[in-house]
Amino acid sequence: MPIGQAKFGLLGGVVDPGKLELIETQTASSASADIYTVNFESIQESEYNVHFLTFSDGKSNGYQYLSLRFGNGGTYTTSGYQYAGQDYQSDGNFSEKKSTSDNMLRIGPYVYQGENAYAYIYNIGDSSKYTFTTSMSSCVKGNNDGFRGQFGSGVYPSATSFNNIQILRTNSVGWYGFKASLYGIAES
Amino acid sequence: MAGSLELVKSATGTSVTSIDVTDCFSDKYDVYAVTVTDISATAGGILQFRLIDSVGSVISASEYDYAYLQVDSWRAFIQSKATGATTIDRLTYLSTASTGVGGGYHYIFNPYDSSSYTFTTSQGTGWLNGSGMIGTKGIGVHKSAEQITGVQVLTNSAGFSGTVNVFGVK
Repeated sequence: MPIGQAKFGLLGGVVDPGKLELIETQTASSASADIYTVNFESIQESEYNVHFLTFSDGKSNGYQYLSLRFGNGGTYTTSGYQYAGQDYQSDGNFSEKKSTSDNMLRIGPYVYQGENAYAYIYNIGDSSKYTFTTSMSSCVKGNNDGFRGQFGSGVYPSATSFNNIQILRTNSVGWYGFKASLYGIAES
Repeated sequence: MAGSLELVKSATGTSVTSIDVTDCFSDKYDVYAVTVTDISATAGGILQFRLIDSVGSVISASEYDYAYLQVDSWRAFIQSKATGATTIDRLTYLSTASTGVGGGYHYIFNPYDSSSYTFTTSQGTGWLNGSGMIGTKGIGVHKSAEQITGVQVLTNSAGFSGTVNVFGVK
């Protein structure tokens, strides 16, 4: 069944609630040029209240925080994000990462490569609610220098709808490999 | 299809302190996902779990252990844990602002297996007016090897409205 079709019945209810439906996957492997952003710009925000984003096998040559931005029509909001995340490392160090006003919403720890994360994104197409996230990540701290992960939550605290999701780096060194997928979750 | 969620049962409440979803667990699934949608509340509070036994009674005895970390955007994080508790705390913060209703996914493991304890994991997020974002990540267990047939979502606040959805994880 094509994505987005036959999800709503004749009476307007969701036919298959709970179903995870793939919207789009983007990949890069051994990219010839560094990649700094991964943009999803057809997210079917009017059909899904919850989106599920996965990012796996991110490869780069510089430390950074895996982050998100939301936008409309290819223009991404660059201020006003809040987040709070618990970092944990295989060397035993734990730390709090949080902000009430950042230019992006972090979903990952400060890592070098081996980036793997997922995020649930709530209400992104609902102009009457804030856009929230919950996320978790598991990554390589350095060049095979241990493990670092994070779990946390975030919000863009303005009742605004968005139709774009951007995954981005906080470092000027780009990715040369990754796989990113965006799903919609049909709610009841 | 393996790897998907199948809605088993939903229950809705309006201005209530708890919503029960009865007879939603069976031997068809080992793992269930629970969401609470369309939430509204007139007073701030929290949402928690209790389980429902094989005769349909809500278990309110001191049979639960839990631990969670509350990650807030504007203040130091908060750890909470208990043994012998009467609820599994916590699913999420209950926002009073309609704009601040977040979301969460909460998983229940082995509820119908009478030879196993029932375990839970939770992650949620919400908004506290005048302060900022509240996130939670938690684990819980019902320390009694018995068959669980349903789940209750309850609040410590004056009341809330919403729908509790129970999905089987294939």
